[in-house]
Amino acid sequence: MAGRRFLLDDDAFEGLLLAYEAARGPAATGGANRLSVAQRADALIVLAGLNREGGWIAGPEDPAERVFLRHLQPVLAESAAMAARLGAVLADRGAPGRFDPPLPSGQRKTEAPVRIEPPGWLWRLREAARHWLRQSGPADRLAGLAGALLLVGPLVLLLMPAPGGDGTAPPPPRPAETVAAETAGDTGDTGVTGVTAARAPPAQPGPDLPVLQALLAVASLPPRDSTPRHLAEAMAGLRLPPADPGPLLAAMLARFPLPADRPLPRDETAALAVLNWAAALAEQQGDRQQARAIAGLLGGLGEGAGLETGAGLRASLTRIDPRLGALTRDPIAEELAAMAIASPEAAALWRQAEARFGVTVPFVTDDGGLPVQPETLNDAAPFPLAALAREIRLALDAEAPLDGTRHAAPLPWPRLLDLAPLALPLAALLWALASLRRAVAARAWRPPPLPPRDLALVPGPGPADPALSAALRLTAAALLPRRGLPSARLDDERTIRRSLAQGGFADPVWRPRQAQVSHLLLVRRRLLPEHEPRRMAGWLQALVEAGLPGEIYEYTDDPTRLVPFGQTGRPPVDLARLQEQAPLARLLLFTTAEELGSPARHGALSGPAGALCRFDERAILTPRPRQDWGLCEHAAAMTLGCPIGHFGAEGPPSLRRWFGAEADPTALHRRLQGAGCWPWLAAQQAEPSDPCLRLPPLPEGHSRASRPPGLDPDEIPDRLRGWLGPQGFGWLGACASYPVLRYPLTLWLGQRMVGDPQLRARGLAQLCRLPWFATGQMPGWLRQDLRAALDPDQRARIEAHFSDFYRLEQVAATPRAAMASADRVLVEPDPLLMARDPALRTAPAPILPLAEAPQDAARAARRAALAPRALAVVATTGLAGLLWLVWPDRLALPLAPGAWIPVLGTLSAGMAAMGAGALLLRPGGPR
Amino acid sequence: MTGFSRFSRALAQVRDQGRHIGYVFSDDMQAAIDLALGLGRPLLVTGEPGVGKTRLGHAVAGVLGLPPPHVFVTRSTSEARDVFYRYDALARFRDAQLARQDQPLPPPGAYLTFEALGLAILGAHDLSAVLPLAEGSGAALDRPAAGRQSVAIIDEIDKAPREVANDMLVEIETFRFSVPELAVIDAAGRRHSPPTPEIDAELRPLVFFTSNSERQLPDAFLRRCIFLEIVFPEGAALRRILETVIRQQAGGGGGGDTGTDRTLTQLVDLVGTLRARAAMAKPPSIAETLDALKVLTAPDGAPPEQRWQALHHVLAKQVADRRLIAPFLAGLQA
Repeated sequence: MAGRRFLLDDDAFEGLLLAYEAARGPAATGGANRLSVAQRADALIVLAGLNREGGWIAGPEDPAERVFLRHLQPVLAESAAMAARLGAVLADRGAPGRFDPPLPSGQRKTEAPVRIEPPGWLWRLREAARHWLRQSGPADRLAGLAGALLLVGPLVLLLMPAPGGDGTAPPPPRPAETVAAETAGDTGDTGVTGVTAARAPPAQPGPDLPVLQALLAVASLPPRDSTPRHLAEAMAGLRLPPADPGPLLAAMLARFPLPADRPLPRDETAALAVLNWAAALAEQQGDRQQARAIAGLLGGLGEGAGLETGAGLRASLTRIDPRLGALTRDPIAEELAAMAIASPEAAALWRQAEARFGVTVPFVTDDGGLPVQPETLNDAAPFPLAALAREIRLALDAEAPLDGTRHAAPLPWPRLLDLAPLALPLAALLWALASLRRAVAARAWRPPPLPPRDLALVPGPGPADPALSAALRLTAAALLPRRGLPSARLDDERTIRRSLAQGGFADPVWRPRQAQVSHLLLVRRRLLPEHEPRRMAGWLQALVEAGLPGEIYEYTDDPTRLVPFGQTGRPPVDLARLQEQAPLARLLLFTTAEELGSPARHGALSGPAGALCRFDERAILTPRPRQDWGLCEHAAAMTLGCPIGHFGAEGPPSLRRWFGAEADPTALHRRLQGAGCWPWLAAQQAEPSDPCLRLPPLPEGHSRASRPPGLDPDEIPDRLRGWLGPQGFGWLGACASYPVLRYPLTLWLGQRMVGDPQLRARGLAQLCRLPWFATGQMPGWLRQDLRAALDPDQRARIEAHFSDFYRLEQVAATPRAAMASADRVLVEPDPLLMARDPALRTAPAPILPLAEAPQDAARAARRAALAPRALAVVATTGLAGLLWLVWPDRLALPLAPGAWIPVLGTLSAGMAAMGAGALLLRPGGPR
Repeated sequence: MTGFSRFSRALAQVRDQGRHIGYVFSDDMQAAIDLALGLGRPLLVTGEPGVGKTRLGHAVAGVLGLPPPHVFVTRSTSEARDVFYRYDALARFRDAQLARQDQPLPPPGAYLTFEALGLAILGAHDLSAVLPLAEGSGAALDRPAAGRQSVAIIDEIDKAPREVANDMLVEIETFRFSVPELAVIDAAGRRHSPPTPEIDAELRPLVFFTSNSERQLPDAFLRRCIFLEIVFPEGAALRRILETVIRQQAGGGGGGDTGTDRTLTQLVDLVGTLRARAAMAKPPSIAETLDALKVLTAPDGAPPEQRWQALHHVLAKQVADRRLIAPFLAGLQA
């Protein structure tokens, strides 16, 4: 830092100070925006001193503006707000000179702070559950548990795998020693191990019978494809090189004749046919070993097994009760007594079939009660073969892939029917997602920023009108930034006089002193459609910016809980705290008397009145013209013990008179007129002094949804045209062209429809007096009448303006809204407005295209549309879970009579409940 | 003009010597203190509570090698005179009533107690120059004979009525004050209470007025002060402060092991996040952050999770704030 100097550009420095003084505005300390001589001198001394000593403190990345600001700000700025304004001016204009050696110019890079992301929704859900568990009672917890089960249960059911085909649990893993024993049993050592092996899936592959396996695979195709010709073609295609299917088909049919082009029958015949064809194909391929193995399978049925043998087997299998999904004990005992396993290959093939089809041979039970003869087990070929045939039949029916990983199962109804309960939540989810897609489309629409709030006062960008600025300054000055207070100094002469008048008793009179006071301007926070209060707030803000010392605060219901104007997100400030900070402040309450409480409820102000009355100087200013005052105004004034006046052109003179600053109430009028700015103040009041120009009485029913009978379409437009003038009427027509009336839009249109700023101010004041501009709604018939009354040029201009408007920006609004259809929004009037204006309750709410709807309306509509959808998804999921629970067990076949009754009952009850809920929750339904 | 880089040069010297002063000066602070010393004006320090306004005066005295600051804590009942001295008129009245012939009444100065700004102004003069004023006041005599510069801290000036600041405009500009209670009657019979002598520009006290901006100070007072707003440091600046405190706790050693580094990083991120995103009614300031650091680095063997959870009590001072910071603390531990 040693040796660094700042080479000052005098003109630039003076320009910087002037710009800073302009930026300081009236909100600078004490209401004066000028820098003192001492401050300017200090700034120059600092510059000279730092240059002399080379004491400029500059970081490695500090730009010149930052270094300059660092050293001048402590001298030129007295508060954080002023420091910020100086920084803004410096950033705008740059440093008034340059550093030697130079410093970079521009903004300093700021490091991006690391942010900690709070846990997501899962954590919040857990915390909410904990909080609920702490707060809830036993009954609530029980209900919550039931609800959670209702929600989670279907989910668990959905995630569970399908149960096994035979209704039994999958076989447990097989111990290694059992496998070894089974292997020994396969060699004919002992039948007990063979029986044990039959209870568990085999760990070793069966005999190598690829032809049979391939044929089984092909035969498991859908029934219409499982003809002998198709089997022959498929088998021929499996060979390398592919063989001619004709000879194969001939050999197959020679071995086991069946119609070549008809699907295989769904019974044991097909099983026997497949076995015979497998043997024939093995012989055709020259695989004698395989052919012998298959023939050995058929050996138990005798040589030359054919249709007759199949018929005998079919007769045998009819004794097996199929409803059990397995074999019963008695038939098993009979079968076991008569059957014998013909060969080890047959036993191995049986195990293979068991592994493939999940068959558990029930001829040995846990209690060992069956009369199993180990020595005869190896000869019991007909039974495994019969079981194999049966499983083949089932496999053909199941049309399941024979990959050994999935259990085939008998399906008494189409498999897809099992998933029927899932269809309900799926459909509900798709329904909700469809609406979500529309919501996303609505969210993508963003309105650009609104036009400035004070367009009516400040005529567009550029310098303000001098007369307006003068009017604002004079008005602000008229509100007396100083106030007389008793001091600690005795007024000798008056004390002596008073004491003499008191008969010699001392009666001290203190000298007055002038104290600076600020203003506390309280305005009620308004709904968006209300024009007049927003105009008033804009006028107040212009006054503050013109030099009226004070701050504007908003309140909703309680005037003691305040938020700085335009900063709705900030926490409210207590009025008592503000009074402590500024005990001399003057309180001005801008509101209507009705909002403070009706005369009937005289105590409505008892709470806030105490805090309001702590201000020595206070007043109420109402936008309502004096001729419209009634009991409410007098009651409010009496309750608060303060004067009440009309906030218009006569407002500031009234305040001067009330607070004892001016005995002559016309003095300010004369000063304003002398300055040529009285027309501006007069323009701020909608009610001109000329009685001919006063608001004409509007016909009855002017706000009804339908045109009052007998009302001429030209009556209201004619009355309003005479009152507003041609330009003002064009402005009104432009406002009526939009479905709702919004203050920023009204300003925006006025900027374009009315050129003269004074006329615009007058027109705005007049429009704000119209009843529709207080509610933000205008009946459709009146809008049509007004548009029809416009001349073609005005209509063309309005359309051009709205083209710009739609292209550039949209109006932000916060009405209640609902999705009228997929792409249209029903914008409902605000409930407060509806309560205030009964006509709105029956007025049809405007339906806007989604693209034209205000953003907040679209968001509200989306939210309103999504909530019942989410509820429907949850309810449907719960109903699906219940259906899943009562769905009949397809393994307990055949179904008992009435097995479907729980399903139908649950479905009916659920649909009835959901229907009742939909009726209750529908818009306009009973609440 | 006594130099516009005196403090920054002294600070650089302190850093070169490796001395730890337990306070991190930003460039803006250095510039403002340099200007206050160079222009001989009081420094008005504002900023949110707990940001280190009062400690700034102590740290500046340490850097400049000045004696410990004279501190005056403003109360809502304070008057402008209290910043300079207090006079116990009631005790003198009582003593005068009880005085006997053989026991003379103590001199008026015995009932005088100088306060921060009075002590700082008196200390800037040679003792002989202010001896008549300080006669009887033992506190004023407890000092070297030669005048020297000192630091005075008038803490929370915004708590006092506005008249307090208004009534000391001349005094803070000239650094002279008088004690009417010690007035003497001259030959003409007029009461005469001469003010303190003119002060040497080199020895002007460095006065710190701190304010929480709860009350608007008078314009005339503001324009006589050098303004400094201490903004909450973020990121690396906050980390530097915490590291300084850790070094100070470790007796000037390093103290920067891996665990502490991680704790520092997490704490800085947490505080930055809370201030930026949690929308707390009372966001944590530097004081709360330092308390949190003490909790996290206390050698009590508590598990880290328990320490982080304990930050609820340190960082959040309102019920609503406790709920607000809970997700962020959980996010930090996640």
